[in-house]
Amino acid sequence: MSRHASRVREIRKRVAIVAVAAFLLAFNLIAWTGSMGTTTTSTSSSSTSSTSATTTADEPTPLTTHQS
Amino acid sequence: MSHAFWITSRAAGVVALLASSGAVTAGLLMSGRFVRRSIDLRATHEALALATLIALAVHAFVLLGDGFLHPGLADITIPFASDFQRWWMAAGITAGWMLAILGLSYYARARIGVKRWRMLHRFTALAWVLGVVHALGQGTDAGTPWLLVSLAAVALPALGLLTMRLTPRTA
Repeated sequence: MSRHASRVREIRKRVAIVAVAAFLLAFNLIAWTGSMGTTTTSTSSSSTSSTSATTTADEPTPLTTHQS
Repeated sequence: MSHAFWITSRAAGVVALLASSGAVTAGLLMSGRFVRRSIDLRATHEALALATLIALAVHAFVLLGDGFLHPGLADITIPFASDFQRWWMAAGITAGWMLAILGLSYYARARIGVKRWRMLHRFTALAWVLGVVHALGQGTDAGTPWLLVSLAAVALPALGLLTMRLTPRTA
């Protein structure tokens, strides 16, 4: 393999490693801190033993669950 | 994890955004004669462009598995086919197709003609701007500090170089 080709191969390898690392970092950041588009909270009343759920959209959306 | 497809798509979108910004910066550095052309810069530009295309494919096609959004193939590949945030989606899909076609045309430049290809390749910057608009307008993570800081770090140099490139030179 020529010196040029091996240099190009090395750069491609580095870019691939950085891209995968960025993906994993972004994935974990979103999974731990990111909004899924909506938040659902459940509240229980001990006196009546009834449970109610409230769904609140983060942003206006036609979806009931999450959005991009 | 119930949101795995959703989070994967968003993370891939972030990678596409960062890699495309890096590719545009490297491309503008080469074409603007700001630095001496080198094998390293050209190889970095090409590798970042390919990484962008892979990330874009993941960003779009992984959504097909999302159990909440339920997009069809047309929704993620044809501008204005989806009713969901129509204009932002259309901007993203158009940017994706432009980046794919203009980027991969590099491998057919001998057939296209180098001069004509160079002229076409300039529109990649427009596709990148559309992609940034899509991300900031529609992206769920657009308002998060980590995304804004990382995007600014890679997009502002590209934007500066693009502005310099588009500004007419005075003799």
